[in-house]
Amino acid sequence: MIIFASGKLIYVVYLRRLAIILFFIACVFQGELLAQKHTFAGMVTDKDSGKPVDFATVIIEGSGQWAVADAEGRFSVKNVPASKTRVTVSCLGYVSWSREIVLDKDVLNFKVALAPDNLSLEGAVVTAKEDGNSATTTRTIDRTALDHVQVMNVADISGLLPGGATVDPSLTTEKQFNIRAASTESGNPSFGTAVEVDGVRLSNNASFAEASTTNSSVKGVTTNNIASTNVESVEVITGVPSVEYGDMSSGVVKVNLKKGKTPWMITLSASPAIKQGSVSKGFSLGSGKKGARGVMNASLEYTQSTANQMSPYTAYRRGQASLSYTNSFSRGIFASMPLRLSLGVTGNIGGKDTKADPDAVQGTRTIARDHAARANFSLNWLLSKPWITNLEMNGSVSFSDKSSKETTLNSSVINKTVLHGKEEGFFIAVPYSEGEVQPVMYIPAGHWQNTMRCEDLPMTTRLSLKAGLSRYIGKLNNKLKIGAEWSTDRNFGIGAWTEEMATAPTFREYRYRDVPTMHNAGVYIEDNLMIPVGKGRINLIAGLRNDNTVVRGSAYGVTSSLSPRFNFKYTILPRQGRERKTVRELSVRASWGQAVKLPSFSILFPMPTYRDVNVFTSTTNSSNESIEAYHIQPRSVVFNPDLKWQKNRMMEAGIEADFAGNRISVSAFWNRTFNAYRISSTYDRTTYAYTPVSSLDGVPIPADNRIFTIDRESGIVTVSDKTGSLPSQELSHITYKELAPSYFADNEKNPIDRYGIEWVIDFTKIRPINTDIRLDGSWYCYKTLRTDVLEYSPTTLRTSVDRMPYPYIGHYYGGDSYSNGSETMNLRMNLTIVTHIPSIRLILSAKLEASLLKYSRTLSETSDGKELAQVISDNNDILSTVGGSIYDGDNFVVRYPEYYSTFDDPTPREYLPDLIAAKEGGNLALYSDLAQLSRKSAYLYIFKKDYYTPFFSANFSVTKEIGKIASISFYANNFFVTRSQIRSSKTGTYMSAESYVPKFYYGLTLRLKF
Amino acid sequence: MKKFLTILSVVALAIAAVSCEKGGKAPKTYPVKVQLTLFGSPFAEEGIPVSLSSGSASYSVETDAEGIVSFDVPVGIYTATTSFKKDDEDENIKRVYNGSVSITVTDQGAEMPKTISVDDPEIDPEDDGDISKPIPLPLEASQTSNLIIKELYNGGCWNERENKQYITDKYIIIYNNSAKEMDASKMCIAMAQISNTVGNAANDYNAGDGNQSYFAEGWTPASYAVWWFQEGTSVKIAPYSQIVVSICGAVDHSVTIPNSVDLSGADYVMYDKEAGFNAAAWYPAPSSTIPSSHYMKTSVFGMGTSWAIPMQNAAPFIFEPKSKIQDFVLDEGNFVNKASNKSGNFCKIPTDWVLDAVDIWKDDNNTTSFHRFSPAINTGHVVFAVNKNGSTIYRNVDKEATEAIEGNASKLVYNYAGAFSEEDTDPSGIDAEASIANGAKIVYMDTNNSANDFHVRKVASIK
Repeated sequence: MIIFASGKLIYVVYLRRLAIILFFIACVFQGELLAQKHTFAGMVTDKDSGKPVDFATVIIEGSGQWAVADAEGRFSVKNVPASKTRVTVSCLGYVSWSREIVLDKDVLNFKVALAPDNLSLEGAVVTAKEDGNSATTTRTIDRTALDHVQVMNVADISGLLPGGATVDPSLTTEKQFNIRAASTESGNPSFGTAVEVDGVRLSNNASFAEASTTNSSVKGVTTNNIASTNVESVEVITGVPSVEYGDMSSGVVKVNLKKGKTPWMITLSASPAIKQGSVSKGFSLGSGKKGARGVMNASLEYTQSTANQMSPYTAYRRGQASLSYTNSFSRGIFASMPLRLSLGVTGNIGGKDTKADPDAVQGTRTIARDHAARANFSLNWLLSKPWITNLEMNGSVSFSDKSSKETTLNSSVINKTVLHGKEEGFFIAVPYSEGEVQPVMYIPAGHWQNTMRCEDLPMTTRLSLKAGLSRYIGKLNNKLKIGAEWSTDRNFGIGAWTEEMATAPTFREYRYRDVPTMHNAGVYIEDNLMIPVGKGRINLIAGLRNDNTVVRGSAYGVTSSLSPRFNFKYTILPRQGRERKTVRELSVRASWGQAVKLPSFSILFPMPTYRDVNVFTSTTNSSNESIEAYHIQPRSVVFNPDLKWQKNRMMEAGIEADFAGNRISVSAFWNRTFNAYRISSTYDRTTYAYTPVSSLDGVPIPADNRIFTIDRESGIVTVSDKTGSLPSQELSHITYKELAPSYFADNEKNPIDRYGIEWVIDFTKIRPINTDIRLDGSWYCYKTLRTDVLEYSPTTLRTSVDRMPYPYIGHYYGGDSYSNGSETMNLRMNLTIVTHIPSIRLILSAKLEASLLKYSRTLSETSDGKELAQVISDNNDILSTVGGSIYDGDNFVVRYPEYYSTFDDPTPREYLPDLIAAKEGGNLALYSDLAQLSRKSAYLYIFKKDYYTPFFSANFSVTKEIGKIASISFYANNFFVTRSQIRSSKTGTYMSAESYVPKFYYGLTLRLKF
Repeated sequence: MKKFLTILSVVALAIAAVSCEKGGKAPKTYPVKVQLTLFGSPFAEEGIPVSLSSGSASYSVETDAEGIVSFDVPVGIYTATTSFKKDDEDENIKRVYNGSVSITVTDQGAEMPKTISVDDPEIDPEDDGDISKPIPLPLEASQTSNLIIKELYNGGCWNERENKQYITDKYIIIYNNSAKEMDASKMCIAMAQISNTVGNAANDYNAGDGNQSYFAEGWTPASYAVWWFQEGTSVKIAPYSQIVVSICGAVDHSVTIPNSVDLSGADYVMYDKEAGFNAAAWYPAPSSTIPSSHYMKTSVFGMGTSWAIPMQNAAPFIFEPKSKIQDFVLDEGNFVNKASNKSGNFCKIPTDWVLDAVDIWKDDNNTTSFHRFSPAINTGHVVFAVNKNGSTIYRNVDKEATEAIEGNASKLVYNYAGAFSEEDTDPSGIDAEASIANGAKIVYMDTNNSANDFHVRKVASIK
């Protein structure tokens, strides 16, 4: 399939690469047939009680095979290729067990004793854990860490990543993940971040809530409606993820909910503005004739977060129930090919509501729902055949209700005109008559209450099938993954509506449910090769993904995109056997990949916009009524044949090392976003009849007896006498020629660069004081420079002399501002000191967060560095340009459009010569009008480098377990209540650090387990 | 109780006795001479009152033919001030002179004062101590016009039903403060809306000495737009009469917002949608009773679709251009920042065109605010700390001039109680609106000092 003509060559290259990979896999597959097979069986017990641990999962990582322990704790994996492999045993509530073993014969009585997970054990981690086995940067935040810092919104874990800054734990503001990016940057970083909850992809592709007609930024899914107490761990892939993950461009966040057997767990949490309570229990359904009936885990949570800690009224509430079921079938037909089944259902009722707030104006209320229903199933069938190791099928549906309802009080001293018409034409305002919605209506003068609703019901479904083949050729291990995925996005909402049409403000019906479904079919293949080299090993991963997006009924039709990804990791010195050496572990890695983010409905089907021009307004009569007429023009361009899917090219290199117990992990990355989605505008030329109020001069009909009508086509206004005693009369009009902006989905034409280095140093434990010290940080740079020629016209202006609509359009390289880009650089460092005293089950942590460098600068230049803005000597004279760089010192600057065009002549003309000629020729009117297209800086320091002086804050957390049934956590963010002053080198002014550090905040959580 | 009164009486007598003990001898006085000067030269006019005050003590003497006054005063710190008007060659204009100088009279035991020092730079240091030479009292000359701003209702009122402020009901009253008919056809209305907050980066004009740099350049900034009457419309104002100009919303606001005003009867209205000021809430169509020829026109050179003037920090002024205003606002050279539609755009109105101006501050804090008009137009400021409650900036009455008008005596209403604050009321005590309703002719204060000329009235005068 060909994406577009210019991409044909690229596509051929990809196909060749794919063929090479397949050939390579075939060779591996052939060699594997000779490998010997063994059985790996044993028993999993509780280390403390010696009782069997049922439902523990045993994974043989080399072959990808697995087993689930039965009620007696027994497990068995058959047909395991002879190998030296890592075996991992895990179960909810226990510390995972992992060891490398040599399987060169049948092992039938392997015993694993799992230690219950609590603070009496060494090794509790309350920071993000690096996944040392991954070929790309992956970090996991587990339950202990989530409990310790008392996360209320999973997006807040960003503060635990290298160089991360703690954010205020409020649920009343919507939060998204921004991986290796900042929320204010171009390129829609949060929209490109994939968030999955137990395999359910949360997506706002089908949501119009984020839609905006003029804002070019598209936001990602909010995570406020994920019950934080039901999260077992969060895995964040910041590097180049597997091709298994499509529809993303900026990393993957995988939220894993609690599953399996657990005791009753009750959590009660309180902070000044947030109250939370939850209860959960995982229980076995016992055994029947056909084996275990599986395990069910149920969880309930209620959280309330108030916007203002001094007022309990305006609040976000989250009430969530989750149920998960897991079982494995290993009897009968599944005896040699066990099947594991997971089912999950989550329901959330919540949102933000101003109900009962006595401080609010009586009669006003805003409700923004954040309801959600999510369901998923997963079937994992371990076939262990020479041609297939396992087959996995996943399905999920995520339905959201983001509807809103807003009741407002309104008033107008004269009648108020509102518009609902969607068709082009001239219309006069008429009063509302029951059941008849007119294009232009008016609400009588006075006070009125109105409730507007917006029904927004996006749904995302996903079904995937994945086949895995793990094989050995000698010591060489190869895992092949082939998968297909089908997903749909659609919206069942009806958009804006009201039951009170008589008092409704201007709005147009736009039924979301009429927007076609977006389908995406993705196929991928990925090969993961592990080659032992000397004492170490090389891990090579190559994958290719193809996404075909189908939007039936849309002009976009079928669009295809490719995402190739490669990972390389060389473990030069593995840890095993080097525990007493100086260099105990050393590995390097590199990744390269591309990822494609599908557009949202707000891009594919932008909300229609209308250009409503007030073409006539009568004088106000004694009843405080003034009749208005409007020219309505639909203004949206619904299809852009040049629209491309947003793409991100990711590159990463890293090193992991352990020097005498000091573990170091460093990653360098460079992400470049292409074709970022944005909304652009163009200018149409419209002509219409405008009837000035002075045309009523001399009309003999008394004001209170006037009836106005307008011709829908011509816009001619006629006034007639209510009493019939005076003749009707057409009013004189002026023909206006006006430029009108139209909006359409578009791409940024320039790439957006983000690059940086992240590091984590975990120093050797200071055993005498049971203390770990971690130093993590990030150096992050961002640069964007808009390079396409954009049009701009200040359409609200009038010409200087004849006071007609402004007829000029400026054509600006990089946009109509004096600047066309910006660059930032941040250096952040966190020092975390964790003291864990297992004997008293206490863990204390203090984290010092430092911003050592915060830099930004506004840019105005072409891609090859030629400056666009020019220095002027006189701030009041845009033609007083002088030489010199805009970046040197304090300067006022001017930016001219390169070209301009007019209403009558769309051919671009050079701007500056015409401006100079107008001035020198004494054509003050033309000069005055053309000068409006120049852009001038308001301040001298616009292009100065802006360095902020360093600023700091410190957090403190403590968790204490009281016996085996209770634990208490307390945290205090910014407990020094930093109020230092930050100096900006750009403005030379000082500002409070309060805006840049988390506010002083604290919270307490009590957890009971029985 | 009786016991207490007895003790109190004894204490009072004791204090009186002690006070009288030192009271017999009058304090020694020293001669002080003050000479009026204008632009460094003696201002030789006879009969001009000059006062010398220190705390509650105040002395007033009239100048001799050389413009000199003489005082005999005890040791202390004094302020010599004068304020007077003179007719100009242009009969529509009066010259106003204001002057103030600080004088320190000291005694170090000698019978004669050792030094008489002044803080004015015009004083020659070598003159220090030479009491034979008079101390200069520099005069600041400004002009007043017969056309004045009588009232600015700009702070809005409270919309009780919706529990929020209502601000789109503004008006300004232009008053003929003379006994002859005035032609206001060429008069324009503008606002000097530069930020008057010290340290505001948006203000490029703060010279740092309490002055704006444009004072010396002879212009006054008009922000966002300038309003003028339509060509061909004759705007005549009868003696001691007014025109009400609706700034926005020439309709009856009080029907829906009872605390608001009825502007459907405004004489003129700032309404020019075609120029770009078309924000619906600000510019409802004017009442049918106002002819379209009474719609004022404008040229928009600032941001936005309405003439958004701040409610507490307004600085309105009226001026009469010496050239055609429509041509004046076309010339790029008469602007600051016109290119690019920014908030810092100003039309540079020559200061000598200005007829009247009011400087309104939201608080009386000289360290955080500064004046926006040249001393040639206006000194001082009126404080408008409370807005959104229907109060208004209203002009004080010139008691002396008003009472001097023949036939007024029986019509004037005293004991004015309309001020928002008793401490900051019209010192004349004349209730201007009640007096006008009674048929009186009112002359309003016009000393070119907003602090003297205005006070905050509780309700709008047309309410």
